[in-house]
Amino acid sequence: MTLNEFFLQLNFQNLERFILLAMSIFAIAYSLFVVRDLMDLQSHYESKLEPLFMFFGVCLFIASVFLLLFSLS
Amino acid sequence: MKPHEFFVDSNTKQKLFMGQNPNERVIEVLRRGFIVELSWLVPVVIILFVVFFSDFILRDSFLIPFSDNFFFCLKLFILIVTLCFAFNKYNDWFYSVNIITNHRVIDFEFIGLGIKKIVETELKNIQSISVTNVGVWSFIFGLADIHILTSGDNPNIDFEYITDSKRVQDLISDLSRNPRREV
Repeated sequence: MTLNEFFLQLNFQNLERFILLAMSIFAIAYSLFVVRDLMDLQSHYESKLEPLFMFFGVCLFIASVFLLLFSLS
Repeated sequence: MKPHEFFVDSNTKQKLFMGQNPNERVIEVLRRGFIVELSWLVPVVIILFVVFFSDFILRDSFLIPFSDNFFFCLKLFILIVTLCFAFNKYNDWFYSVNIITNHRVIDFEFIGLGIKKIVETELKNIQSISVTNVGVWSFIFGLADIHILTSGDNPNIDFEYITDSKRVQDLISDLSRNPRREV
């Protein structure tokens, strides 16, 4: 049995949903780590660009939550 | 705009970094040359270009017929992960600075998620300063590494990929001879 035949035998809807769920959980975790790392970096300084950077980090997290919603829909 | 001005407004008496003493004055803030960051920036731009403009590459590279929703989510996933990676690398570059004050020399180094190295030494402990210029890119763009050798058990400090290294070497050398004075 070739790899292609193996995949054709699988239920595609379940496979798709599983891959999308794994991807969105990874994206949420990664964006959370990035925001947490940014908070750690900013704790060493008194930066006037702090709100701008944090806004971008939160936007990335919200986008990953939207990805989860799209994958569940 | 100088690196110092990204952090604080020069008109106010705001502190630059945590742990800065009231009578401690920041003399110089140095950062790696941005040209070094092209090693991650170029792949990120290529990936974003592929995601935005080459829909058929993602679609045709799979033999399995996934749905349209799957390809949309796949593109969104690649976009989010790539932007997160670029944002994190940019933050590491932005916040990794070398600070020279009238009391001490501090090296803030952030490498990837959760990895950081903060080394500081007082000016009176500095023994010698050497400048190393290695490689074609360093030669072309005038970047150099500054190695600060300290006495006793104090940690040595490295400033990596610094532009205008001769001036910085001279500045630290003068400060170490006359600590707590302005040069």
